[in-house]
Amino acid sequence: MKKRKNESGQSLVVMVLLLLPVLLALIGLACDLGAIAVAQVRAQDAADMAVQDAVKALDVQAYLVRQEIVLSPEAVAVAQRRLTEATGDRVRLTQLAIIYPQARQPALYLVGEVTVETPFLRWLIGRPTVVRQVQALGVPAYGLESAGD
Amino acid sequence: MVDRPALGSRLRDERGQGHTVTALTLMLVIVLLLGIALFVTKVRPAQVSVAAAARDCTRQAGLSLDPARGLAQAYAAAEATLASAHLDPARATITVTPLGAWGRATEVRCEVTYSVSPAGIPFGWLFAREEIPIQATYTTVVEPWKSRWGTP
Repeated sequence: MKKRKNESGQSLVVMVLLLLPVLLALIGLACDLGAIAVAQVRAQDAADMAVQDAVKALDVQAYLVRQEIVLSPEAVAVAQRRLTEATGDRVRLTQLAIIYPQARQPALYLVGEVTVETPFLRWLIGRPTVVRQVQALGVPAYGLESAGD
Repeated sequence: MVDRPALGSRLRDERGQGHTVTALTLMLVIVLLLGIALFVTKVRPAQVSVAAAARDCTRQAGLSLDPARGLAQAYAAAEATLASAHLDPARATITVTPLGAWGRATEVRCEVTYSVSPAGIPFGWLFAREEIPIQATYTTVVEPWKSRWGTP
């Protein structure tokens, strides 16, 4: 009788002790995954804004002379600056190029990488950061007839 | 002599108290975890929405050559984005700053700050005693090339 009384409720304690780390792990995972999701969305916003501004940095002379869409050298700098301003140096520009998704219709294609710190994953599997890619497309404005017009 | 009925009664009274303590502790832990979950689900979406509001604000500001119109549509865009995300625009601070004289190819910056209150979250005071400010800033260039705008 005495033995049964002392052991009563111990299975519940064991269950709690087993479940608590699982619950904490789930919460930690949710925090890190949430941070990754938010960082990716914000990086995508920043990439969209960056490509919109980079596409404005056209080489006007190339367009006037050869009717060719060419970026000025400052386009890359503008894009990286916008990414840095918006995300605090978390997004790195990896590619910026004119592509032709449709014949004779150029577009500016931007690829960036966002690095997110994951303190829980670092503790769990030794992975301190997660890198995600973002892509954005910008179409150069048409109707330019002379510089500044 | 020990009074047997009295001892038996006392022992019977203490039975199950371990269960009660465990259940209470467990409930406290669950409420605490629920608080963390609610806190995260309240702050994270707000971060996304505030960034979206700043982005829309900046994009609209950069579309007009007229400063008054640019400012008006920038504020309207930010407020609309916040409202669509069920955030109260009245709690937000929206700042639109032209970096130089407003005109073609000049820069304009939009900053949106929003305060998330920990009130209503179980154990919210454990994570934040005051309101949590969320801030997003974007800069853009006022359209330099669009040449045939009927109205600015």
